[in-house]
Amino acid sequence: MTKFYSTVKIEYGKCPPDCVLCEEACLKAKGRGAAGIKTVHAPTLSFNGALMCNQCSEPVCVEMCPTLAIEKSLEDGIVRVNAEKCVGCGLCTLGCSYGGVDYDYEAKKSFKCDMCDGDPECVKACPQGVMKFIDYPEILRSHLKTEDLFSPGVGLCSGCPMETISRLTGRVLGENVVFFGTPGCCSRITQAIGTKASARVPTYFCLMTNPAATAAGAKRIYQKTGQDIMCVAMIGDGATADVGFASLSGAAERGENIIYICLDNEAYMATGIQKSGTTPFSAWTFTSPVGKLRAGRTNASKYMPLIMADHGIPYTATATISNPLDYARKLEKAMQVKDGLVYIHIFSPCYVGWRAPEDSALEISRMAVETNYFPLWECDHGEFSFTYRPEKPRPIQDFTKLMGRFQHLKEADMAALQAIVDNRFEQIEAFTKLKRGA
Amino acid sequence: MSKRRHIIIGAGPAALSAVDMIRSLNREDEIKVVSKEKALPYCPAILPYLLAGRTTEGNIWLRKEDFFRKMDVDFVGGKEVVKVSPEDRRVVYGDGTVDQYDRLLVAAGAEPISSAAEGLGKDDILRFHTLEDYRRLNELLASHGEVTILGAGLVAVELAMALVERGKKVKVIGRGRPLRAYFDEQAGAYLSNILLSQGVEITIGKSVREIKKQGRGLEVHCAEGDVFPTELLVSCMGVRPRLSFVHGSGLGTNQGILVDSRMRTNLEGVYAAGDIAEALSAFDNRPGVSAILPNALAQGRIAGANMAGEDRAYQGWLSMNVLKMFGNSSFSIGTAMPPAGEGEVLEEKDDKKQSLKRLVTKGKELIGAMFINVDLDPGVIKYLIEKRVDISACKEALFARPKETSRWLMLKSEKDSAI
Repeated sequence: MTKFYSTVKIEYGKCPPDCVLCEEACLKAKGRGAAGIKTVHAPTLSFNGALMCNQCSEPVCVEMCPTLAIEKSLEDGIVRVNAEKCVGCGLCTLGCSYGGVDYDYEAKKSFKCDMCDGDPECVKACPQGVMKFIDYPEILRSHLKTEDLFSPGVGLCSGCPMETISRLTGRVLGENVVFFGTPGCCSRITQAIGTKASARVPTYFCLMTNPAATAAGAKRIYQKTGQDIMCVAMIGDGATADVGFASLSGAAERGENIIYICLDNEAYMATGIQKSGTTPFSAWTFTSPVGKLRAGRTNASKYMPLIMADHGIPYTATATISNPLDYARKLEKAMQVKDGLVYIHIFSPCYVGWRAPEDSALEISRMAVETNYFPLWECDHGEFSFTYRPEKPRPIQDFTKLMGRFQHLKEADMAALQAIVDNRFEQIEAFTKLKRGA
Repeated sequence: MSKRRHIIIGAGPAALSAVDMIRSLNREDEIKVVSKEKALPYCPAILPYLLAGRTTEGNIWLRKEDFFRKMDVDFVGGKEVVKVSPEDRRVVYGDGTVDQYDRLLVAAGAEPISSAAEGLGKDDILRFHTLEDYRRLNELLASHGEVTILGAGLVAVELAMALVERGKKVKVIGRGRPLRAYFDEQAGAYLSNILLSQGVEITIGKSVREIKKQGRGLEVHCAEGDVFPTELLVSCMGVRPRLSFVHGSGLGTNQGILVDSRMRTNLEGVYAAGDIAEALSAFDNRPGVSAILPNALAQGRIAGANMAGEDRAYQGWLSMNVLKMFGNSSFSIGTAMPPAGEGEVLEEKDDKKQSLKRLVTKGKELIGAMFINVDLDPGVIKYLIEKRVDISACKEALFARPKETSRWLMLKSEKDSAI
């Protein structure tokens, strides 16, 4: 079960000089000698900002306390000092690297920000808009209609983001759905293949060459018999871009009302890392090997989301699990579409095939977005728009360095990859500037 | 993947850190934690505060039975390992029974160094290292108003402070000035003043020759000729790794059990972490024992990871200490007292405020710091040293206004490295 906690976002260095309104609000609310939020005014360094406890997921202050007086609540994620248990040794102030814990010399105890239990006074007191309370869970929770549609114990590699993606998808869609899958990695969860795992909704196992057609056929029967049931295909990139493309393209062209979600791990992974249509330029796979004559895939990949948008379907979108709220919103939009095919392309890092650490999927996803390798956009009835744009896009090396499949890249290939990424981004950007009619 | 059987000797912070790490990596491996003490796991650092009355025994347990049950860990208290047999991968307990291991973590901690001259039984000279030591002293405090402490290190000073809080008359007899491992002459003088102002009698430059029984109390006879009578005597002369049970096993030891950057000893499958380990220091890779809590936690984590099959390297230990003393703050970290010629030192003191600040840099990086009664975040200074943040551009600002500048340096470093 995914847990998202609320947080306070403080813009870096955007505070007015000498402003201490947030501290004053905290002092007033908590009645202590010092505030939980701290302004940092360093005029000689031209910096004015503020900091507060990060409510770390693995708090060092909690670990360091010799009497377990600090605890992170699993309910709201807030790290709190239990004043009764605290003996005032001050070790926590040594443990916290971020200035999040303080020492009260009067009370001889440590204290820290507790986000006012979810309604922080400092945020309310800031007239500059430098601080924002992000009640992430509420917004995301509002998209979740049901408990997990899939049981535990699915047969995916540990660390595979397809599990998180699928579980989130199921919870946003709700129970009024039939899933369609094909041989490939994601069928491990959507069809519960390989273990005693199961799903709470009907699932149907197609061939790699016909998932879109199969889902479309089922949907037509439901429509004919007056049953409003969503038909959702969750398919890998191999079946989507290559062997099942004709089926998908035809379904799109006929205006079949299915939601087609592609989970793109950029190769045929389930059969042991072979190149697919979406394997990126220069990437290593077993069938785009690195050797004397070649260095990974020799040409650019197929950019499926743009191809599908160009079918003129009602809704196309890209998404990552590192931007779950963005994905949930896109899925909600998808569920509203009744007049044609919806295509959502989700970036799904495969640490096994991409040669990365087991727990790197989220970081790779984030970096894919931040380098514009995988831009987040949607096309709603012909209107293109970015749903997120990095302020300062990072060089593609920040993405490639995270994976072994790019480690052989020489300068020329890296430049070529950067050019492919830039060109693709500029192309989408150009589309977002066009204003088409409905 | 085949199941491993881990045996962990000790139940302190290093051992528990290893347990947490192994379990975060897999649930199949067997884990057995064996502690010489009968009590549930606790952190020795809590004992002075327990004695001061700031908390009660019920509040000090780091883990309870239900934790071990939930984590599927076999916790055995009151059982002592007397021998390690690496050839057949076995440990031998005091009761003669044996246990088989795939991986062994020696996290048995440290033991108090005995005073050189001991003319009496161990019931007469008290220690202050374990819960049992605390209980014995605490009981005696009900009928005694005066305590002499031999030693002037961290435990001695914390014990002295706790006794003052309990309203006792305290005498400290040491070879050198208080906390000299962490604070040098000037800083040490400030800290001594704090203790003196609380009525603690401090006598330094004495080495104990003999301790005699005298009536209801004791007499401390020093080589220098002085004789100090006292009701209660607590020996806090420092700690050293508890090595007696590993003699003869073939484990490489110096002051502690020697380990590499993966907490591995010279024996296959045997690891060490915490107060018993002699690990490599951060930056200069020098082996040494640094028996403080933060290092025990980090070393336990690394040992656990490597025991469970992951390859993780230890960043190396840093010496550090934070001590709140009767409304004063003291903080020392890294190479705070560099030998002559090493590092650049910026220092300023204020005799009136009894405050001191010192920065030690080497090139662009901070390698050590010392602050007495200076308002700042110790952890943020630690961050700057550990992450080797380039402070060269604002060294003056960091010295003049350490709190704000260190915070800014940390924020900037986080921002620059964030996604």
